[in-house]
Amino acid sequence: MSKAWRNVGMGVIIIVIIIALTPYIWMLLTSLKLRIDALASVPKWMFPPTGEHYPTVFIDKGYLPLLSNSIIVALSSTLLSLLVGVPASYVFARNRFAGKEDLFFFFLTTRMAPAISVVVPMFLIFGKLGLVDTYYAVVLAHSSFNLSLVVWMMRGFFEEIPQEIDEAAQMDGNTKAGTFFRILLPLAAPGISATAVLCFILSWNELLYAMILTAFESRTLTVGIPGLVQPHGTLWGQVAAVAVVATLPIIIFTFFVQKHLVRGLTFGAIKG
Amino acid sequence: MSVRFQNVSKRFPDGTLALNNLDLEFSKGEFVIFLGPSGSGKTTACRCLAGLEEVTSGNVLVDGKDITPLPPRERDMSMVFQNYALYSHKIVYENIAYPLRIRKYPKDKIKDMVYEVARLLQIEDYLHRKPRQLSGGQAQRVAVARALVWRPSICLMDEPLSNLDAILRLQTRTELKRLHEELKATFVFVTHDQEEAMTLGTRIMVLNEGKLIQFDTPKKIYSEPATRFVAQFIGRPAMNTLEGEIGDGYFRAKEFELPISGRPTGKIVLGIRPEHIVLHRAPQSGSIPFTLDVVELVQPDTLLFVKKGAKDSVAMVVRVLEDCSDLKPPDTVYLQFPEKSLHFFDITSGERLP
Repeated sequence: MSKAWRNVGMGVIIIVIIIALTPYIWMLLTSLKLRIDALASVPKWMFPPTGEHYPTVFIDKGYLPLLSNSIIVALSSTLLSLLVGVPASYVFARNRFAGKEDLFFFFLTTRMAPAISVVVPMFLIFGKLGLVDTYYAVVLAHSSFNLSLVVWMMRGFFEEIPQEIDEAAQMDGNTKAGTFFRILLPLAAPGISATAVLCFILSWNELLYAMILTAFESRTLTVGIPGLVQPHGTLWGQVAAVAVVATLPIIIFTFFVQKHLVRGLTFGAIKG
Repeated sequence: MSVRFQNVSKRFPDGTLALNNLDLEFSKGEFVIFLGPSGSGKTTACRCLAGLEEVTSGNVLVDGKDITPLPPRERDMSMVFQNYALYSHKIVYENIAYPLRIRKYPKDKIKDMVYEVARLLQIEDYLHRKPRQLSGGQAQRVAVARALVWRPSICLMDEPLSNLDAILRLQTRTELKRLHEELKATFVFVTHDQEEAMTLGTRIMVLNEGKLIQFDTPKKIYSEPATRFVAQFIGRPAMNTLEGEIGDGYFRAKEFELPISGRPTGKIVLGIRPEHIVLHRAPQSGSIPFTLDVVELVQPDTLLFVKKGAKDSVAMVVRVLEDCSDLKPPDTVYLQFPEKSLHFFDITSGERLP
């Protein structure tokens, strides 16, 4: 590739990065602005920074528990979906049974109904069970859509692993379960991490289920943000502060699994 | 120790009958070859023995004990797969040690055993590499090492050489033969390559369409093929066969006529191996003239493709060791068919006639 083309390429990359990062940087700056600077009609790049929004919203307004709620819900839902979905997808990838493809498609159809049509019955059911405003309700609700994602993604990963690997493991002395836990799971690790990141993000960002199924105790961060939009004006500084903190776990989580994530996502994309 | 297939049949869910009433027995220390064209059921037979495939009917016995219901891990057998099936997340050492770890051998014993088998297969230098850093030949050795390290009573190999290039295949073949003699282990080797089968096997099971055609030593399979199929499957180039009729002391097929004594009259298939036909440049007593069609040099031998006449479909191939650079199509050559080298097969069933 000639130097000119490389420069054009770099230019495109820079533009994309700017477009992608501008909202984030905007948010980061807003979280450090006084109310008067945040609302200035010509956006200000230079301003006296303030850190007051963070303690105000997280300590005075009590948003800290919401952050831990979000973490608990997202982690639990991811874990639960993987726990159920990974073995299920393995069975879909390896076993033959009547109605397999129909059942597999059924998992996809669970995502076809608009969330709003599902959430009201869900609210009634969880209400009867006395689970409204508990972690269980939100975790189960989030797992209901994450499970289909896990099953659909992981089946592809397991199908990538040659059947002979299972057979070799059995010849080497494993039971079928041993083969799955000792050989197949480590081999599918990149796929599992990629799937876990997506599950985590989906649950972390989810608003509708969390809003309807929680009231106070188990509210998540996404549910808390609208509380800062008040009749006498939006508290932009505090909204931005919450938003910045809300992005941190995803950045950290993705950072830790990014090696697997890239391998995992491309692995599935090329051959899946 | 002996292994016995007792009337084993295998039908797949799609209805294919992969094994049709297989019945055979072999004993410890043999190098048994399952040989057949693709779709003959040779791999299925191997997998049924391993326990990776359930048999539809019949039993597999080891030392008289029925192992049909046992899972693979309880059969005291190991297997080498065509694509090696190494665990890509483990280094070579761990791949080889794996069957020992599962069987809970003590740690220092594992180390000794892995190093011993690594020495045997000359892979000590790669023990700390990941499988993806190995060449095909190296990966193959690792797969063999993993199969032999725990000294199973039978080692199964499903076309283990077919992913290797030609030179490496020959090398590995020789090494397998050496390993078999050193370890005195029982090997079952699946292949479609008759040359591998003939060189490696102590006995060869020839399969076709799920049926056992012949189970015998390579020598017997070559010299006394049980059917026309075996005769044509074994040997390069394949045995010449001619469909014709015996009557008044002659075998006749179109323009071809050969005196035959002491055989009942009727339709028959006559066979003769290309290397058993005797070539003359001038007429001899009992020789038959043929027209040379093509000459192929396959050093050090020469293959002569001959025809009876231009309009006749009787065609044969002759394999000779002598120098034939003086012969050119369409020369006439004179061929002798020694009576002791002739094979006869039933025209309908294809079975060998005495």
